Amino acid sequence: MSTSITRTYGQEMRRAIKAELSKLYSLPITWYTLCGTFIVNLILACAYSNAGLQGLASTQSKLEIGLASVGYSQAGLMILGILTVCSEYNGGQIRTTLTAMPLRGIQIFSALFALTVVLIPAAFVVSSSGVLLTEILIGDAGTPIVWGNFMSAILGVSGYLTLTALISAAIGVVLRRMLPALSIILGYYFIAEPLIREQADLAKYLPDTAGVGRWTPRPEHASALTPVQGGILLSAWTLAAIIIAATVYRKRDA
Amino acid sequence: MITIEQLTKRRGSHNILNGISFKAKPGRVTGFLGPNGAGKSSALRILLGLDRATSGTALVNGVPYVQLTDPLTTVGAVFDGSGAHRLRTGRAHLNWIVRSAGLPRSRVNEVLEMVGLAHAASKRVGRYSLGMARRLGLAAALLGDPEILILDEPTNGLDPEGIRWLRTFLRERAASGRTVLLSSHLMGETAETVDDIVILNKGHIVASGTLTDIVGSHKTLEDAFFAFTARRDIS
Repeated sequence: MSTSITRTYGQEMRRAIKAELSKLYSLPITWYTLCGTFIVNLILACAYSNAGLQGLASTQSKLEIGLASVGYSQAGLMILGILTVCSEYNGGQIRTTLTAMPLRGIQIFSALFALTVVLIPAAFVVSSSGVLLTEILIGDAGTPIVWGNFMSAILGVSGYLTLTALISAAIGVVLRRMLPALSIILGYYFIAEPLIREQADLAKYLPDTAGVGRWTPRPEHASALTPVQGGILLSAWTLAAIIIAATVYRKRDA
Repeated sequence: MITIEQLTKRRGSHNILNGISFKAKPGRVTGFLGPNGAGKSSALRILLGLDRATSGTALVNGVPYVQLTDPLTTVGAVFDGSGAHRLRTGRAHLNWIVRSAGLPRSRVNEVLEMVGLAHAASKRVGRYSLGMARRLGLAAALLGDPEILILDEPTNGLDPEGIRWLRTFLRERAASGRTVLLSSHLMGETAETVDDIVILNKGHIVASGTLTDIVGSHKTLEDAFFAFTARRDIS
């Protein structure tokens, strides 16, 4: 119709990312969730280290013991992903968001990008702090950590944590409400998936198992994926979840 | 200028809006009146790109809202409630909006002063009274100093002083050539603020025109309103 001004999508996206980062930083729950995840992870790492010292752990590798806690503390970052996107529906903020940034594709992409900017360092700090604490607690008793293995394991785990939290956020976008999204994500990762993993051969292609393969190749499962295969597969799951979420988000009434 | 043309919204088998058409012109305050559930909010949500129309168009300066290149400097929208997350402070809420539109940061303090909320800027929105929440919503709408203001039931929750302030404020906006569209179910209040009136009942427009036209031979706008909405009920 009348406006023939070419839109500067790049500028709109930069502004949207700044706005979404500002939203994340100014929400106290972001910081509570991050601190909570960090502390819980350290407590769990402490418990696993004690088990290791008493010979109760299935491994003497300090790296594996140090990363074991992530299996539980990943819930914290999943919660962060869900909280972030569902917080739009608190106080009717979604209406403000969509009137300020009416191009929904750009807005939701920017929100997930801002979340990723927070998730990557958080995942890195959480996973490496567990290993470092284990190193301090176990000391010379366990298998020494090789620097190269440490770095690749931490990168793998951080990637896994980030992508898993993004999948959670995508589910939060679709469901809009926090509790249903939380029950689905936590129910899947902590109840359904561990059961399926033992039963079905195809389970290795599910997001959790594919992701777990990223840092602990399981020799006991001959069919398990390599870390690289797992990483690619988990990235594909994440991309699919985001595409579905963005499609639903763009089409529905806010 | 706001132009709504043959706008229809269907949810399931229920018609919320049945082909409504009206305009809100620059330099005028247009009152969008109707009982609760008449479809006022639905029409405004479609106009702002929040909901999709089943058919028809709702245009701002000739284009759908989502196609506006600078939405916040073109339109300011005030919904019921604050439109802000309850755990954020009022200032933090305005800060992210300013960033989203690339507006100068100084606008935040300016609008906080303008709506009389500067003293509560660092309080969490959840601790605001209803009136303060409405003022925050208005502050957010004014950040871009828009040429068009769209307000859904703006006087809800405001104290008498706030209502009076808002009335003067909206009259001044219109006097400076801007467009104001407000929805309301309060006739007495609306009659003192608006120039033009659109009355919506059960998804149909039952009357539209200037305030004088609508009131016509009735004693008050309220009498006219009930006459128009009752006529529709009988037919």
